Amino acid sequence: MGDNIAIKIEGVSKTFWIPKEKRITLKDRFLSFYRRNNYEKFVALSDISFEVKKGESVGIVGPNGSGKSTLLKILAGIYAPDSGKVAVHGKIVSFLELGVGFNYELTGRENIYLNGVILGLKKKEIDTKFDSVVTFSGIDRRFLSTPIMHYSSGMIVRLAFAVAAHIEADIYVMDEVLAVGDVEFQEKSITFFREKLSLGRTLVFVSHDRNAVDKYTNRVLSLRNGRLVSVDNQNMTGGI
Amino acid sequence: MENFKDLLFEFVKADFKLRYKNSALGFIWVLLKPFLMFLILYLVFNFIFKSQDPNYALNLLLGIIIFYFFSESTMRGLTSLWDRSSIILKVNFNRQLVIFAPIINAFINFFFSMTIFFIFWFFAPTPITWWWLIFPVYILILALFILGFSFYASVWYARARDLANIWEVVLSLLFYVTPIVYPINIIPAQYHSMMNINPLTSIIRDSRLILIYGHMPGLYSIIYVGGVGLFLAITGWFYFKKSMKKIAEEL
Repeated sequence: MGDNIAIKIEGVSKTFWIPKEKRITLKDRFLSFYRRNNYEKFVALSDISFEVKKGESVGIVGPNGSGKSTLLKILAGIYAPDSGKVAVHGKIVSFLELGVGFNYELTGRENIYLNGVILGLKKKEIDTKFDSVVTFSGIDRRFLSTPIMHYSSGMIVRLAFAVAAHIEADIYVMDEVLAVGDVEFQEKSITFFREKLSLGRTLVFVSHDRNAVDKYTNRVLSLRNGRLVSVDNQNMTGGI
Repeated sequence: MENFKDLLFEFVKADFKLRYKNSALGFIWVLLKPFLMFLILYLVFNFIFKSQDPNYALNLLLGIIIFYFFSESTMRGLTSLWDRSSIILKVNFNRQLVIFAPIINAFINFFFSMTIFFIFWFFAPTPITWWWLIFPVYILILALFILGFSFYASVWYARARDLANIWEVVLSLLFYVTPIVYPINIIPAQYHSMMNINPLTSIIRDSRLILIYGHMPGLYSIIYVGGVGLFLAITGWFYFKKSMKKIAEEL
């Protein structure tokens, strides 16, 4: 296998058995015991294969239900594929959501630490990056000891993004969450992507919005009904 | 994962802070709750039923504190996976931490609630012997039971939310089938071996034997509870690990 491959996906499939009614209590389980075939088969991904080279910025697009979230979760290691192989070379970090683990009753400082360790940082690393995170977020230091429930939603997003921007990895897998927010925020995230790419990092960006993906990536994979329908290389000149 | 320790520490810290935030007495509740429970049971059983045991207060208090540790940590261990589902669905990290964090918190509470026991002990001291050193071993064994239970039950709880209600009832049953408020000798001898199957019976009896009577605990019982506890924790660990592959689809 070449040294320049960051992610190699081979024949990955994933099927979900979705209960027609969510059976969450024992009573539901016992009742449904008499009613068989209560599950609906849903093929989220079927036989997906592709490669992402190191330093590439790849977008994955598709309408709702096309399987891109499932693919994202498989890349993030949250779902295991039913079949097929996923090989990742290098340290991978996934942002399916900003500010994972944020608790509204905890202070800004506490949330930086909590979110940071959840994303794989060591406490010492957060200690050294702390000032830089706060500066990046643009949040007034006076508010660091305030529970974030008193923050505006913009402040919370900025804080979450600031932590995310300080995570070092070889491969970044991101949901479209990073593209939301106001113009200033979008500028920030474009700068973030550009910096990572200039350092030779690999990006995988997932969205249902083709325009957003075009902005950030130079190759686009389209998913439809769990299948890879096209690989579009025409965007080489675009991107960031 | 290399930041295992730091992540665990942050989880424990967050749990701890959230628990005592917005409460006037805060951490004092950790001491107050078992003490109030003790007071109620002491009044009922000592004054109404007139216990003959001169060490009744100490026995009862120690039993309550140990049982309270068990019930609190199993209740929290049970819901732990579900409680953190929002993180589990978004980030891949070592899932076992989610089980460890609430148990460590319950242990911290246990550790501090032991101070009430020692305050009582101070006013009516019993002999300190070398056997006291074995007491932590019993707590460790109890922790193995709690861990093993949590490994299994947290996964089941994700599938059937009834489990919390069922376990609550089981806990109140356990409280009375374990000799905590009454001495075991009021139960006919032929039932003793049956009661000894309950590991809480052995753990509480031997803890009292050590801390209150300064005696050597039975070797047989420590091997029994230690063995069962270890078995439960190890099989639970494998079960939990196996279940984690699919857990994101069940939460």
